[in-house]
Amino acid sequence: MELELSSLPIEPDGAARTAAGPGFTALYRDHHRWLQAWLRRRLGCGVDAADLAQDTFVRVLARRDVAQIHEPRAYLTTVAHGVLVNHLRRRDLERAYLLELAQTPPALQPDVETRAIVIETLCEIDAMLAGLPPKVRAAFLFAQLEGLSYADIATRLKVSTSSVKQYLHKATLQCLQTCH
Amino acid sequence: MPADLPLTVEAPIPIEVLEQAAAWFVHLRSGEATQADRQRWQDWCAASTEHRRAWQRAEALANRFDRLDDRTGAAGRVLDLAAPTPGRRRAARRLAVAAGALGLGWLVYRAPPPRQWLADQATTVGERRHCVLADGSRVDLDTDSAIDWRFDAERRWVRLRHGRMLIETAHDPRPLVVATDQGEIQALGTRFSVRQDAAASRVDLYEGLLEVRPLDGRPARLRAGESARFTQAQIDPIRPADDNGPTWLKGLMVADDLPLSELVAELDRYRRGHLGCAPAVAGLRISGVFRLDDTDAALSAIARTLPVRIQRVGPYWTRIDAR
Repeated sequence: MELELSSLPIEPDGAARTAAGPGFTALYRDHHRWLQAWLRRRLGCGVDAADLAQDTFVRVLARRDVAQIHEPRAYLTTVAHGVLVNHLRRRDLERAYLLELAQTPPALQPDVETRAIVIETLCEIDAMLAGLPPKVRAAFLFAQLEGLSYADIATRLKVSTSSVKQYLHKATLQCLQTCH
Repeated sequence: MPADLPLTVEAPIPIEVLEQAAAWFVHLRSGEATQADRQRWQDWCAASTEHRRAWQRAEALANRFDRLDDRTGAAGRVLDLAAPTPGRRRAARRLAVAAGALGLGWLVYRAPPPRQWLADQATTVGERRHCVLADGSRVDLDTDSAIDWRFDAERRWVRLRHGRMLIETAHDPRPLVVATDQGEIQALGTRFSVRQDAAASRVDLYEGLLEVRPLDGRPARLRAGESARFTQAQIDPIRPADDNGPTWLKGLMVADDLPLSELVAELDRYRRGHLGCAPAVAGLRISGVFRLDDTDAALSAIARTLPVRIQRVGPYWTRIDAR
């Protein structure tokens, strides 16, 4: 399949990179409404769709190493898909957290600002741990959140202490690779 | 959004260094670290800038958890809830699967394979093929993929042995089940794609409804527009399906801030011989649309974008290295 290189909205040498060059302007002009409609179909909400379309273009703009865009809409939907996944995941985590708080005595409830920080941090941690096997994830959370000793974690997970160390190493390594 | 963001990209930290940092992180918290260990750890940190940067990440990681300040345990429960646990009916399911397997003669296929010979349809590296099954279901096979199928009075079974397929099921009163190494997918009048990776399967549903049943885990229903990755033990949190639909049908791979190693692994599936990348560049991130049908063009695009060079030794060995 030969694709029109002349219609590239972002220069193949990556010149558009972070600067809002003509390539980006054209990309935005030609596809913004379409992308918003695409998102609205998936979200059923116009307000969120507008926000997420904006987030998508911000992401595109921030991508430093864009090699080439043969099919701008395929590229945009892929970026938007990532934005959408994060959005839905964040919404789930936020709901779960607020439900937890609803069962917490008022005296222990964090203020609004702290809540926002906690939700943000929960999303970051959740993203870092994505794809890890359940026991690896659990071992890491026991160690980090509850401060359990490795021996206690081993007992809870019914594995050996050396397995716990391996789990923790695996989880830590993934976190170090993904956090910036 | 400022237009003059600096273009300097932080150099990636080699994986070996991150592994060492992770090892220190785990050891220092084990309660077994001696004074001598601590001294060795400090020496390690001081030994190079990369070590120091790796350790800064480890500290940032610890700080994230401090920020949660999870006295009530709410955060812990939220994160735990987020990870599905294997189902309780594990033994029962295993039996059911075994019974199903016996009844349908799947055990025949357990014999050690030259894997392609047993397949009813297989593609070679770089090939894609469209085929129609006996019931009229339409299947597209991706590169280096193989399926078997077996239809009887009650069921339509399709086994994905390796690679990836897209299937549009024909109307038929018999349920259609796709089996992978990790479990089964039962379709109800649908169009979906299934991919068999080394340790997991992934299904993307474009139309209709289906049920995913890991061998030892709790089953889950997917609706149109949803996607699930599953292992034998569990299904990962359900995500929206990749909405480009299967771009591989068009011979394209769309990358959004992907580590180079993942893009290369994908291109490798479409390429004869070995294609790999050096650890030093594996973590570089890349975005763009790449041609699966012309992996040489894709490699050139990579070389134009990232500080890497393509090393070719003979026609069948290619490696991406730091420039």
